[in-house]
Amino acid sequence: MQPSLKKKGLFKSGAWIGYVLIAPCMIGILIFNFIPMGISLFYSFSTYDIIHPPRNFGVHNYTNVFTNVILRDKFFKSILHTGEYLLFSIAIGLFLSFLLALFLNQKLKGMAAYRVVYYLPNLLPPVCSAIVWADITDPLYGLGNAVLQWFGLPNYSFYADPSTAMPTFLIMSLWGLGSGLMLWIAQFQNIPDALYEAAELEGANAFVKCVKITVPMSTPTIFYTLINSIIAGLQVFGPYLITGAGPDDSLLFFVTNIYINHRQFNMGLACALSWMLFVAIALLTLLLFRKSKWVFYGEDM
Amino acid sequence: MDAVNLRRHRAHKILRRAIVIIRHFILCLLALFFLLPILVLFTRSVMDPSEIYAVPTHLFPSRLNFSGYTQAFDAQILSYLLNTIIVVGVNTVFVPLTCLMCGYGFAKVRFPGRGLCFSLLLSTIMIPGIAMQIPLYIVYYHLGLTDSLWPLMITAFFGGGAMSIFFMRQYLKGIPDSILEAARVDGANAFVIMFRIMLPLARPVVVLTAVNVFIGQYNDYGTALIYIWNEKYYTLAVGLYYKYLAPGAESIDVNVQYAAGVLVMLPMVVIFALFQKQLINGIVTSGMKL
Repeated sequence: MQPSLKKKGLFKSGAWIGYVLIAPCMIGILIFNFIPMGISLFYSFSTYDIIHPPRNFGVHNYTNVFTNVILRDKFFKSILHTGEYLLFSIAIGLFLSFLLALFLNQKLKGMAAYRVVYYLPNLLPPVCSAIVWADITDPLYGLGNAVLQWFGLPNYSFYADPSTAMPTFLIMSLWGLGSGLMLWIAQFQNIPDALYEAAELEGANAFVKCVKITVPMSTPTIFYTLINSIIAGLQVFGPYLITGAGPDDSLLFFVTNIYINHRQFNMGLACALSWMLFVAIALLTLLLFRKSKWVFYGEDM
Repeated sequence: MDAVNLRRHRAHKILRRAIVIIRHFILCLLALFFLLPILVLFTRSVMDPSEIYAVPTHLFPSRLNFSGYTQAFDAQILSYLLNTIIVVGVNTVFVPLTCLMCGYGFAKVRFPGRGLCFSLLLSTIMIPGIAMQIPLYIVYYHLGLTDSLWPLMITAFFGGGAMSIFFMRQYLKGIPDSILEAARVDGANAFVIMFRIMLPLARPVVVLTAVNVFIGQYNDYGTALIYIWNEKYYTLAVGLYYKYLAPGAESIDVNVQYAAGVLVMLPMVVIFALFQKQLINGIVTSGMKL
């Protein structure tokens, strides 16, 4: 295929068309991504409050988070919280939604309707979602405690107490399971039926079929979910619309910390923190891509 | 012998039906779980404000009260709706188009530097959105675009972001070169090929992109929050935020908040229910081939 195309020179002579076609997106990422990132890098080496021009150039924003007691406390707290969320979201994305998708991937009447229902919480506009969850988790008149009482369980303080705020947020994120579900179901539909039929002929049971066929054939989704969970998980903003950074900073995530500094016009520090996060995400993603030999894309790639 | 077989067959049938019923039962329980926030949104939108604060909580209203809807559906929400239609419309039309263009370039045209450009594009996925806010504000400010609808629409003309271009490229790569060859032999140029051949063939992923863009733009209040302060440019998402959630919004009756929430959510549910199949198809066919 390749040599014959080259001989005809069709692609080579038409190379300029390629540049025309990709021009919009390359100009787009230059204006909306790379230039802002450059500006942000510049500010990260300064003290900047928007009103006055940047001054006091140096690396102090990068060192202060380790030397200044208050900043250090917030910095490490936010890393710890982000890590907790990241692990939880990977577990949910990889295991819980996988199991649920297995269960949803059966031929049953009305399955499409169930899928829509399971996806619905993802369609709740964030602002509506914040109003509803603030209500459900209200310790006094919320539905959450009403349900717990109904089961004879003691009241829970949800977002009102530092020790329960994080678990509340993690449980709340379970309602977003539906989006991962769609990916898994799509992946399962891509697995040829012939593989399962062959396995059945050999007498394989459901568990063996799952472990030997479904899981290995789903490695693209596993990889995609892993990458996506890490990129999105490290940028978790938390239920900021409901409780801000939570009682006693119990829901202070890395991005929440950036946002708060940003609102307090500590732009230099906010930009420095943003760059640290960017480098962390880039390194983790690169590492995962380096170690992605186990991903099987089928014969067509 | 036959009787035994028949009985066995019948028992088997009953067992199968029992399993189906149990499955439906579990599926319904799960559905109840996922419906909880939506149920709360709906039932409270038709409750008396005083009943919403009742202790212990009432899930279902003792008396239907639709005043929330009549109050929520005011001139303001219509103005927000108009802005939303403009923003979402422009994005839903132009993102798939420019995205198809770039995806086609990356998937089917050979040119020096293609790999590098694609890597640069993909690297933008890793940039934390929050890191861009202030610098992007400065860029928009110098372009004279702040406090208008433009910050919500301008990116639509530039491919609409790495993720959608990525999905498009993955899909287009699967279209056989021979089809394009044949078109070229017939004298079609790149743009004719794109619109007459690629666009119809790429329908599933074009629809996927359009629906994703629709949902994303419809829900986006963060962008408007930063770049727009004149109320006449508010979209539904940001209007809802300022009116019902921002500090100082507590004075409004809660049932109005919920009614507004229901009204805002409704179009999304319709879109999703209509395109559910295409969405899954789009994901299946473009694959998550990183």
